[in-house]
Amino acid sequence: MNLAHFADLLPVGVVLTAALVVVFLGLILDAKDRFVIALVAMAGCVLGLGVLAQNYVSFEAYYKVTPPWFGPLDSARVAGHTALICGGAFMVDGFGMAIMAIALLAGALATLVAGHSSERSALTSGEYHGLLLLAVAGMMLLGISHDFLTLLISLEIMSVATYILAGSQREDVRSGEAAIKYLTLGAFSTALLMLGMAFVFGATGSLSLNPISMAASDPRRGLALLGMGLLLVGVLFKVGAAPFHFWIPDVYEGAPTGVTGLMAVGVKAAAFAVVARLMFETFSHPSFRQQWVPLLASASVLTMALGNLLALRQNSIKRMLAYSGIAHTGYLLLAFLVPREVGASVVEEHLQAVTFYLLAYGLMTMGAFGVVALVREDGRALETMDDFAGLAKAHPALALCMSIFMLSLSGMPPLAGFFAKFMVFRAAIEQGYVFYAMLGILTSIASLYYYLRVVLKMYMEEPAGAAPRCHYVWTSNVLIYTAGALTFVLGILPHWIIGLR
Amino acid sequence: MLLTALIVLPLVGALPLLFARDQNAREAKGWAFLVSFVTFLVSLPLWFNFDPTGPLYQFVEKHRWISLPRLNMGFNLGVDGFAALMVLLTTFLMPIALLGSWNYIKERQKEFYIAMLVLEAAMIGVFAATDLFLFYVFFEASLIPMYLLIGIWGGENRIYATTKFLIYTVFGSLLMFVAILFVYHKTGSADFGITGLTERLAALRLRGTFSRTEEFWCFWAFALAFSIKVPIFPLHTWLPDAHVEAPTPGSVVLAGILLKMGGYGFLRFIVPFFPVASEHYAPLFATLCIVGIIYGSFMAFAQQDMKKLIAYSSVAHLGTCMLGIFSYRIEGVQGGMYQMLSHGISTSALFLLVGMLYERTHSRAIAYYGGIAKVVPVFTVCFIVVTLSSIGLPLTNGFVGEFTCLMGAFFREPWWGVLGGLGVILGAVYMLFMVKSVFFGPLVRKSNLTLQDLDSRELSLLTPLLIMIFVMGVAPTLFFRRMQPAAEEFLDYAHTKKPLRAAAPEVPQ
Amino acid sequence: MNLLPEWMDPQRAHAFYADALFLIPLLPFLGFLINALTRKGISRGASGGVACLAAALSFLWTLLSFSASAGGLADHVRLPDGSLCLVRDPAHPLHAVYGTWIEVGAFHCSFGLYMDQLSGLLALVVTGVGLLIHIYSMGYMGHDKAYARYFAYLNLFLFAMLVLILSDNLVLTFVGWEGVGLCSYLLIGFWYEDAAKASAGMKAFIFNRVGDLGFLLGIFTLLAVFGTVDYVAPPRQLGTYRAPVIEPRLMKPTGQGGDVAQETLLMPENPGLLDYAKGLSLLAAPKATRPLRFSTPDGRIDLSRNLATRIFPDWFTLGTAMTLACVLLFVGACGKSAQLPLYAWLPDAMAGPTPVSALIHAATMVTAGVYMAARLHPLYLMSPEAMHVMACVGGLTAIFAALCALTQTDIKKVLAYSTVSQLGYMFLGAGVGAFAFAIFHVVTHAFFKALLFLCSGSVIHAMSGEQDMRKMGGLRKQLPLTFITMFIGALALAGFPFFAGWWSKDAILAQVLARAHESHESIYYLLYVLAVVGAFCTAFYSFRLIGMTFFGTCRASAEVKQHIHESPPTMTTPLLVLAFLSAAGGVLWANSLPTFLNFPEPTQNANHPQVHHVNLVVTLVAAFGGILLALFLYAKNQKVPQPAQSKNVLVALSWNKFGVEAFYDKVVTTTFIILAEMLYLVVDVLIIDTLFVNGLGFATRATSGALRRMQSGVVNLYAAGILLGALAVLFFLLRG
Repeated sequence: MNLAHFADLLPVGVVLTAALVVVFLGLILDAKDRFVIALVAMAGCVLGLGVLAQNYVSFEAYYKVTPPWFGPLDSARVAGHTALICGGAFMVDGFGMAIMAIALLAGALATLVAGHSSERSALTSGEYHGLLLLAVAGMMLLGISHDFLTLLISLEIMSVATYILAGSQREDVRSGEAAIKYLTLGAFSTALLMLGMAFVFGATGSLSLNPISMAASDPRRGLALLGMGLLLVGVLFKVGAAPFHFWIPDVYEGAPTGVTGLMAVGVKAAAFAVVARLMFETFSHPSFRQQWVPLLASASVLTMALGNLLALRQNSIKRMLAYSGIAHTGYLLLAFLVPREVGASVVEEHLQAVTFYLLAYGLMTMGAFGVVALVREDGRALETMDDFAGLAKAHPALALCMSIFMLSLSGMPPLAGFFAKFMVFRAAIEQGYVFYAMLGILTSIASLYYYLRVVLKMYMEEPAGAAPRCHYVWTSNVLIYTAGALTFVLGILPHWIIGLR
Repeated sequence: MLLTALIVLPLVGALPLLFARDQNAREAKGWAFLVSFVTFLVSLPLWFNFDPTGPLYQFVEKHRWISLPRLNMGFNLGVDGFAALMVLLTTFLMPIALLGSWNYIKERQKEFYIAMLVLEAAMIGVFAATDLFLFYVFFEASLIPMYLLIGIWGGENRIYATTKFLIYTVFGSLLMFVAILFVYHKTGSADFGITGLTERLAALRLRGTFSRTEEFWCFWAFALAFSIKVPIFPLHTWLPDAHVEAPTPGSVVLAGILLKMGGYGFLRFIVPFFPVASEHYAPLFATLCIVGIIYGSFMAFAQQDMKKLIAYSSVAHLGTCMLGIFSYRIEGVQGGMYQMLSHGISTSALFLLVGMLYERTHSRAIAYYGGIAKVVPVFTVCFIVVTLSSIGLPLTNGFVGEFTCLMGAFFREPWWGVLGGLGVILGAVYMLFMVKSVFFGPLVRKSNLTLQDLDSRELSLLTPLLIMIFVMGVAPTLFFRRMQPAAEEFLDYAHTKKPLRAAAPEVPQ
Repeated sequence: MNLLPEWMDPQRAHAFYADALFLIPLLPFLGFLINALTRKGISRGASGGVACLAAALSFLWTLLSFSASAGGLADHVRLPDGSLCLVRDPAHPLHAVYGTWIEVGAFHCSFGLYMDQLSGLLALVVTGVGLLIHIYSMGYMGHDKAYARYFAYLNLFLFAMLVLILSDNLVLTFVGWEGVGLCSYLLIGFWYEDAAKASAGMKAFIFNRVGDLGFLLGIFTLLAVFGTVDYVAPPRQLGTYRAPVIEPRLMKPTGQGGDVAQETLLMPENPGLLDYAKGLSLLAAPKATRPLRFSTPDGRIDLSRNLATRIFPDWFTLGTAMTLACVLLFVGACGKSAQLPLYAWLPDAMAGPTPVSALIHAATMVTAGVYMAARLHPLYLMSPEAMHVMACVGGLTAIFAALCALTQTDIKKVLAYSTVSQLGYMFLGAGVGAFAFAIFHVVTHAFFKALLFLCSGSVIHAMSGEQDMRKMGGLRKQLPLTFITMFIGALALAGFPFFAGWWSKDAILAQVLARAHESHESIYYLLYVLAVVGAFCTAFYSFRLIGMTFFGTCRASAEVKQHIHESPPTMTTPLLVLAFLSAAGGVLWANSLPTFLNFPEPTQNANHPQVHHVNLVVTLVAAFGGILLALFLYAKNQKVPQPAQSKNVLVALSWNKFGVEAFYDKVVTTTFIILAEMLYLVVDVLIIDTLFVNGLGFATRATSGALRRMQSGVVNLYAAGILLGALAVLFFLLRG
């Protein structure tokens, strides 16, 4: 393992160290200055981001090639260079880095949210943040892991951590319930995933994610297909695509807001990384494509429709956001519909769309959850739409940010969400899935209704009782305002991010 | 840089308001008015320095914006004669609308003025953009401020109205969004320049790689979006609600400018992009317009609420305007353009006047009034003058637009002219009925005895509109001269006569 | 008559007056502005004075310009043989174009004024009668508080009317056309506190609008055929004198100068409607069957590029197109000139102040339709069908309104229906081709009908607002002047020999008979009979009016009686002037007018002696019969009719106007309202909004509600869901 490899994994290392430090701090610090923990945790993520950026910038110095966007298909690799490290266990390419970055960002923001939700007792403790960082580490590894073993391990690191986190709000019954549900179903899906891996291993005899190519006549093809199907189910569960989405609303609602944010963004991002690796690499061979593309297509439509329709009548904002998350998964899946063998540049475009979408989605959702976490009355979390009535009068700035998030989620220009949608739908249309895009758009009209209900409540309705109060906390504001500003900037200057490669 | 300046000015002007501490800053309205007025002054070169004999697009700006491989959106601005006039209409109406909101908006003033200024920027952007993507961004962005204007400062039923408004409009524009992406992909994902797209589409059509079916689907996606905006019967039902609930300045902007985006879309995109489909459906749309004219007039007649009446009259008037455009005759097309402008002036004035009454009595019900002409003579005179312009009395703006539209329609299909002409009669019927029952007859309500006549502010904000009514009625050539090149270009596209430029842009086979 | 100073070079003078034509409408407009802008600003006297001054100046200037246009204008033309020859142009129109109004595509119309004999004559009548009525109004409206507003409207009306008459193209005529409609609307509803009066104004405007649509469509049709709306080719440059086009062969050199016929086939460049019509009329081949796309071999008339061929069906000939255009324009005329079926607004229009009724609803505005027909008579002559329609509608209206007038008890209503009837005569005349006599009748009618209205005004003034003739009677003692003048007016209206009305009406009837005689079409005989019966009725009701008002004993209440007084001189002077004109006005132009207007002779044997003699006898009998009967009944026997209670069917019919107005007021209006309400509730509210818009929203929410059940919160079910999903995936993959 040479220096370069070490450097590539350094961000993960940083996060893990931070995790240890946090846990330790949790032991020594007394309750009143526990918020330091949150800050340290965030610092860890930020530092990780910094290292990652450093890596990205100096990638060329190490590998003498410009960073490949999506490893196996990149010309750089053909030229004999490779982003594979640790004997092919990991693949550090642009896409992987992007996923890492999103995970880190999600982590950082999550710490900011969590640190100031009312459930101080549990949620400011060291172990909470430790687990949080652990989950982040898992996500980062998922983003770059390149064989089934590392994939499974990092997946479990992430999942187990999030199971516990979901339940970390001990005094709240819903939290525990959420944890249990998540655990059960998660385990169920992981089992399917592992089974799938086993089948694929049986078919190919290799754990690597390298492309599999099998002639239609090949007897082991059935096995491989079986494996692919199970893997697909496993990851679709993680990204929360229909019909594997049932856990999401309950878990999102029950889990502490910060964790919900982390799950909504980080877990989704990591899982989508896996989808990308599997679909565009392992099973990229046409004989497999023609099998999984229709599957994803139908899953996507189903997800969009269900997500949006179900979100329509939610009165709890967290639940609404959960369903909206499902819907967004549906939109994201559109970007994976590549029926034919295509050049690297196309896959790159599609994955750029995915990553940009994930980034934008991360910002808006995190911001939204940040606001949700802030709006509360004497400790009791206010999570229903009606509680937001009159927020615009009480806290104009907060309401403004919330509206930005909502409008961005509904895909209104000139906000990040719009451009993200633009990229994804364009990808689908270019692959000839106009009809699916049409359906997606039609369902997103419904989404407009429920996102705007929040704006409507905040701006146009008078609160039933006293206006909603929220205790200002600077870190929390940092989160919300940064998210808001970025949502806006990325909407106007998306190429700053997409341009990176 | 002029157009950029026009878009940026209101936004910059909105910033200090954004950071103003006081919710109801007294200075807010003054500042907002100042900003919009300066914007108007800055926009004047669009009139004085616009050369009708010059190139089609003038004040052209091209700034690199998003440029990625196979993804190029330029911040490209430019106006042809018609767009220039629409921008001018916007900058002209905005200060008036703001002045009209002086006493109307009581709470959350700064937010109101922020919304108005942002709206102004967006609307200018819509008419100035020569890049389809940019256009779409502005087009959508203009919805949100309007949504808030109706939803926050509207009447009692405002939430229903504003939601209806938004969902209705976005429904159309989202389908158009898909169509835009499709067109962009179809034309080889080069860039979103409108002329470029038009020509590439034409080239594709020549090579037969842009099939009739594809064209027709795209046409409908676009047409739906803009028909809702116009609105064309039967997609008009959002309009009355929106108008009734909207605060006066909201109505002014909505009727005066936002609705024009629909017709603008037909002129700028639908017909040039999809001439075959447009030609094929022109009779259908003309029929809808005629139905709109007659039906809208009947609706207007059936209303008890003045604002609703005027809203329905807009349906009828814009029906005439679209009828002219669908005639594909130069007279009709220019007439349609003219009708848009003149409708923008007259209807805004009507809404302002009704708003002034509302400020005094908090009633828009026709039945509430009656015989107030004695009490408020000056107001009455203004109202009648505007009414006459709206029913198209010669030497007012209304006549020129209506006359030319109907002429174009008649020249395309005589019966279009005949049926469309019924609007001339019906318009007089409902407007005069309103005038009669509001102003004439004995004074029904003693409380109206104390009605205040127009004060200097109201007069000063009406005067420019009244002046425009007669200027546009007596010297229409000033405007027609500017529109002509745009109209001719449009007709070239419409009749697919437009010769493709030499190097027909590359298109993927 | 030529008021041009001898020393003035006719050419320069002509150019000058042409350029200055705009003063004629402008002066009243200035008067309007002054009165409108200084509402309460100036004293009553001042505002009245301003208005009258404007009218007077306008009249004066019209007179001068008219003399310049009508007055012979000498011009030297070099003949082919090189000798100079003085060409006398018996009537050379003034024509000035002040600029473009609308120019779009092929369509072009300009602000241009045109004064030839026709428009000049009518402009004289309008300004002249207008002036008198302005003066009269100063007295009549003396006690009204909205004095300035009244005179502002009156001046505005003069402006619009003059634009209508003097404009050099159809569209500008339409401007005046709608302008006078507006003024009529404003003046009928002048006392707007009275809801009924306001409604009357609105009714007038809407009925006119119906006609105006016809007018518009007529314009479009003409545009489609000829591609122009100008009456005649524009002058070479602003208002300059256009040398008459001379063809040497047409010239009879008479040494030191001589007369040259103006008949010529030469078309000016970009010819106007009348140029085309004239050119076509000079062509040998029949016009009716000419194809729409058509041009003379020498290319002087070129309609080959006209739109009509594209928009009209193939079987359309030039004749059909002309019929269409003329009939459509005539619809406009029906609205403006209150012909069947659009007459119903005029009786209500009496709600306005009496001078207004005199000026607008008797003398000037309502005759605009006739003017339009006369102005475009070359076009009408190209379409026999249109002429038929015009004649029939005119004839029917004449008799219909005359019958209605028989039983009216409101003094102004009688005159109103009489006006409608007289207008009918005018169109009847025009319909048989006697445009000159139609115009002649317009002029004379303007005199005596204005007189009658003003007199009735004076009576009403004296009776302190009472209009019901049953409450009058025996006024000839208190109001001698009014009595005499009104008697003269009545004689003129009734067609008493040598009074103004007699000349014109007699001429029209003669033309109808001649037409019938010539083209043995029974319809014209019928029309003639109707017209004669109408003439009888006219005589009857006019003297019924005189009888009920001035003879017998006064039936008014006591305190009204005390206030009865002769009107002030401001009111009586105009009466005297008009009385003189009504008496002598006919003689002036009896025979000169047709030649003066140099309209074509309608029929070959119009001057057929026995036609004239027959007609003369018949009309005289009708007139005298009517007069004597009326005087016998109402002056001698003091009959006080109670038409409302009358059992007599005919009386009832006449009293209820044969149900026409009831039909409009009840049936049409209510249907319209109900239809509107129904449409609104059914289509807008129910179908579009409830069913589709909100229905869609509701459906979505319902589905969402149903789907929510899936989210039961029971883990097993979730697991089951996942399992099913997984099975589905696997099934799809392994389906073979």
